[in-house]
Amino acid sequence: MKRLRTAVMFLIINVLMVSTSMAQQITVYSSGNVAIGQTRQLTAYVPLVVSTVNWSVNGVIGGNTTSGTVSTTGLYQAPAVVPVNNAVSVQATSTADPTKFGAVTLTITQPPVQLWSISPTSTPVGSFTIRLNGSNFGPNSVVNFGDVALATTLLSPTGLRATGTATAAQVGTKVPITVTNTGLGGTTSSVVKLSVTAAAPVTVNVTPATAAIPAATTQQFSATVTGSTNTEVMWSVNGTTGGNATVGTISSTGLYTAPATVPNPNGVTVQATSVATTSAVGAATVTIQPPATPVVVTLTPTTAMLTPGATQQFSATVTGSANTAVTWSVNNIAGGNATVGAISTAGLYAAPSVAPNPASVTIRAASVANPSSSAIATASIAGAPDPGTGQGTSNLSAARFLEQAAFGPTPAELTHVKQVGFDAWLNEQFNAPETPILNPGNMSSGAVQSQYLNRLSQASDQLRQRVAYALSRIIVISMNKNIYPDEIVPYLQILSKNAFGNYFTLLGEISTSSQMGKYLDLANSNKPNPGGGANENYARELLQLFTIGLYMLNPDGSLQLNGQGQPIPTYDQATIQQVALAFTGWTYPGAGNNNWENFSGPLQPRDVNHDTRQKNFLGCTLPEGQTTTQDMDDTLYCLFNHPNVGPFIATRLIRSMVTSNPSPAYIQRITAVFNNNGVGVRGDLRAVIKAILTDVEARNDAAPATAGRLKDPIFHIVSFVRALNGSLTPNNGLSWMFSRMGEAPLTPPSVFSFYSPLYRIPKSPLFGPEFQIYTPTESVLRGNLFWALISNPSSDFTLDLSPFNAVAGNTTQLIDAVDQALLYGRMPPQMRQSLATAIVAQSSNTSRVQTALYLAVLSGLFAVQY
Amino acid sequence: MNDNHNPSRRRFLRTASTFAAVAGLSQLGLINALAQSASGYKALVCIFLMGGNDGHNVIVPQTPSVYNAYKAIRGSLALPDVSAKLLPVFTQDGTPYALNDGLTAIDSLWAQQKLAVVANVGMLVQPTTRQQYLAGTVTVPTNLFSHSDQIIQMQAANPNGSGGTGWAGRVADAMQPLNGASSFPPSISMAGSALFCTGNIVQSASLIPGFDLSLDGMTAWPASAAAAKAQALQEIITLDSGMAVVQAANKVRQDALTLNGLLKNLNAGTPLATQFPQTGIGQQLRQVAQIIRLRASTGMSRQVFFCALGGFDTHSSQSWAQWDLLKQLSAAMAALYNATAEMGVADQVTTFTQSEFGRTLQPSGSGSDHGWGSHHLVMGDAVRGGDLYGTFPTLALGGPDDANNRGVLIPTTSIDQYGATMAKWFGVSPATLPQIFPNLVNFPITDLGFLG
Repeated sequence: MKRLRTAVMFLIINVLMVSTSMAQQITVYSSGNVAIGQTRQLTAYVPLVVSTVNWSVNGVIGGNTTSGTVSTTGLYQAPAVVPVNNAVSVQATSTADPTKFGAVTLTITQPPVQLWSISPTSTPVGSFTIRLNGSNFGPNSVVNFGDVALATTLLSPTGLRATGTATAAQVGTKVPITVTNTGLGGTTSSVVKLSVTAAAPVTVNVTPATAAIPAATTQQFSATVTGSTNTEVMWSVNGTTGGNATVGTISSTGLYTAPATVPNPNGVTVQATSVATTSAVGAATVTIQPPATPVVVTLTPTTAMLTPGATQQFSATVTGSANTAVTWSVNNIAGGNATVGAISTAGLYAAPSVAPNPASVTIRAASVANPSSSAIATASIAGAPDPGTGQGTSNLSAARFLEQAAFGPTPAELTHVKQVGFDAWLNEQFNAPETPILNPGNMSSGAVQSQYLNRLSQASDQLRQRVAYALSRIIVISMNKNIYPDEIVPYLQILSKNAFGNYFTLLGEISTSSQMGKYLDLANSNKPNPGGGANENYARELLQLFTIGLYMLNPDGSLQLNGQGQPIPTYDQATIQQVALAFTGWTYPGAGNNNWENFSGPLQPRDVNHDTRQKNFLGCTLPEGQTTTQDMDDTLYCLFNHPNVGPFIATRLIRSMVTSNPSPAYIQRITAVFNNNGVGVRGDLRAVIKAILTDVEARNDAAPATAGRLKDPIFHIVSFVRALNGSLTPNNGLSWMFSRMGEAPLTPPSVFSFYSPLYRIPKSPLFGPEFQIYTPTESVLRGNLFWALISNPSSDFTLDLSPFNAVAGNTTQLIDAVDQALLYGRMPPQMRQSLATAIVAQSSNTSRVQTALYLAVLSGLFAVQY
Repeated sequence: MNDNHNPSRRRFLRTASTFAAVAGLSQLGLINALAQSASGYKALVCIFLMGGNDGHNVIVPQTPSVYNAYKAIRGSLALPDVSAKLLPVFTQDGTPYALNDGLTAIDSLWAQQKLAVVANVGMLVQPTTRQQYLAGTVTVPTNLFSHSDQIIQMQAANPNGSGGTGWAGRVADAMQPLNGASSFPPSISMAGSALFCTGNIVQSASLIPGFDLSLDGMTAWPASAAAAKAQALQEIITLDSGMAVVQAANKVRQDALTLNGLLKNLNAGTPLATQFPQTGIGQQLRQVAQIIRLRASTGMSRQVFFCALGGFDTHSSQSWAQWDLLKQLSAAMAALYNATAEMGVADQVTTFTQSEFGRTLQPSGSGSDHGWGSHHLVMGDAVRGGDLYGTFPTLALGGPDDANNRGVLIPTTSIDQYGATMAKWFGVSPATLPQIFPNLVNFPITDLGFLG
């Protein structure tokens, strides 16, 4: 059989050979592919007597390493790498007759790529990813999907991943998958088929599927979208996108926030709806639990000072549990003992009869419902120190006077006033040279503020400083609009210069000041076009704030009322318009009629821009045809002579300098002096100031219950450093601190200044203008600035603690020193006792002095000038 | 409320009277708070965009013809650009607009109908047309285009700045009865003393974000020395001097101590889960949220808050600068919204923006100049959101809404109307509104409809 088949094959091959080349009488088989490094046994059929042959590759006997070698017995060894020409010819040549030969062509290939399986074996229409298993995969392997080459990733020599897209037309078919190793000598694998199915439905799965959370807490849900590449979902609660306050809300990222209260019915459905396919919805159920309230124990008081054997009631409040019972312990001893003191089940602590060591014990109240929740208080047991009875009030009268007439007493000024008396001191001050207010052109705005604070604290013409300060709260310019030094300093100079002059003169200089001209827009307020009006800003504020106010006043400052018991307006809009017309025609210094801002001098009149019509207001008539200057003079004269000016200005000056709640009689007495200084002159500020400061009500050292004014921040701080014989330095950086306390130096927020003179103490009938900028935050900021002054020397200020340090070790003398410096001998006995107890608890003399001063300045008794 | 009928108050007072140091809680009126219903809380939160925010680039019309006009006039400032993209939104009638994508953090609130825009709001005395304005035949606010004046006017809702009180302060005055005897500040600025919050009755209290009102100088060694200081301070400020003004000053310090206790414990118990950005405005709004969270213990039913974000005076480099500021704004607003939702008061807190003025439609260099009317944002569950209120202006130089020829919008909605809409929601009676908003009577519509 074998022989027969060989013969048949020979015949066929021979026929083929003959048909191609009669010269080849040797036949070599077989041809085909040989992978690199592999061998192939070739056989030569030699129809000759001598059947030996020489084997060669590409004409080289025995071949070589490039195209492969062949042995004398025809064993072909493929080269290690695919040769550039990878079809090699292996020839057998007769040794007897070299013209007789035969050859085969062998193709040298890479190791053949094999594909065994794919996963998955089916895919929905659309994009897919498959994993292929086989062998001889390499970086040049490409997966074919039908005749489409896919993006292919080599995972390992036996693993590939490919991504592709199955088209709708392929649905229901099996598409052949092959792998081709591309490049020289590359091969293609056998076929494995991938079934393409119809699209999978989109589904949304929400996890967790159920949740139970306390009210007002959150739960993160996540949604998994399958069947769509768009995995975006919209979240809803009980069908409402984003939820609502009743059923809870859910964010776009699936963060569910339970409602504050348990909804009825309890149990809400959180849904995630596929944005791609809104019919695809996943859901979770949330049960809302009642809010989890932590058990919190609060204990009052948190500190107590006791003498040996004394008792102190502590009170514990438990929230978050129906069980409000607590257990009491002292130094963690339940109920305490005789050494540390005992505490009753009702929280009544009895100090031991001998002070313990250490002197402080810890009282703890722990919740019975949740013993880990507790609160503590500290009780200190010590014998009460003797605070002494004080040194009396021999300085009170002079010190009170200096709080009203100056920025509080300095030790030297106090002595001086006591020596010369009030009248002589006033005369000295009225005649004292004015402290110059410098206006160097290159000064910064901050320097203007710093120097201002320095003058208030240190200038020797204190009365002038104090009065100008009061006037600056009536006639206002702010550095929030007038930001450069020359836009503010000349205004300060006007207030200073006229502090003891006539109010009419002051009004005139202010009204034509280029600084005010900018601040309230009088500069370049020209006569209006027909039908229009002049700029009313200055006219309005002049009426409302600088002269007559909103309502008709009696001489005692009280409101006049009409028949219906209503206040009577002083003026109306028509008045404002008329005054505004009267004030047209003023411009900044310069050559033109409407000059650019220029603060080198007062405003200048330009009759060409002045409205010359007749004006009528407040019972005054300005005849037609008057000049710019004439109209202003006449207007100011009209306002100045209005009966409201006396009580209006008197009330404000008294509130600034003496007390927030003067009696009507006091106001009336000052009004009378404003109206007539005794020699027929109206508006004499020197006389008015003297009357205010020497009035019996100002000089009453036994203050009635409604007396006093809250110190404004600048006064409060400045008077403190003066009391300690110090000052705010010329280059201080304290403006920022004052701005945080609502009183940025020279920078009131509006023409209404830092606070309204009509502001009342909250929930009280009493006036308390300065309370408008004294809220809890400002009170703490002021306290903290005081602490800085006391404890942290700085280049911003000077003060002298040596009188206190000298008596630091003597509790009574230390309290006396503080009392005399800050409260002028008025410290109540209870306060002395409180101070003494705190002082003796301190561990150093420094701390004793700081404690004594600090506690005193934090007291309302020092916060108020009374 | 008649306190004498409240046994818990009497018991508390008796206990308190046995030792002076416990006065803390009673000082802030917390006794009443304990008996007061927790329901009915409302808060208004103003975010003032200092410098004059350019509303033209907050919301941009997308109707093609309108957008083309916008783009032509805005030139280098037209959005979208390299800094700021646009987020498409639609009003309820389907008109397309787009928000500056600096607002991306609150963009979703528009879709949820919790964010609205009120178009072209500004300071007005009365309705004003271009013809009237140019001819000077109507009264207009004084010192338009001046920062200092317009900041005052817009906070006062007063076109000449007179009065010395702010509109929210007056609103707080009107609602003061609802706050009972609590002396917790009803009107709080987180951005320094603010005219906005000052009433005739209520104070403008300021709180400083991150400052819990801790008083310096109260620590000492050993602990008993500090305890002695604290005890003495409590005694001194509780001591009855018999002087009303002194007692009032002591009460402020006592309130500060009590507030300090509350503020120190803002995160006690379950802290607010909502995280706020570490920006100035983020921390201001965080403090607002924390104060709102204290409402049960402070006994407050109505509170107004003032916050501020500066930097909107974009005379140059506007595109990036405004986008960045809006990003800060929206991230902080989103956090506040989430916090109110977390607390279950999203429908009780309404947050809105104000600014002293808008800016010119026409650019100058890389920025814009001072304008007048501007668009503003209103946020909260009480807001009928996802819509634009007021009248969107015609964007044309020298057009009917232009005060000159640079696209300075003459407001079509006054601050009085804007504020009154919120005041009404807050509970102010219609009869009281004209006392708070003096020029409201000049406008036919007093409720713009964006709340309710």
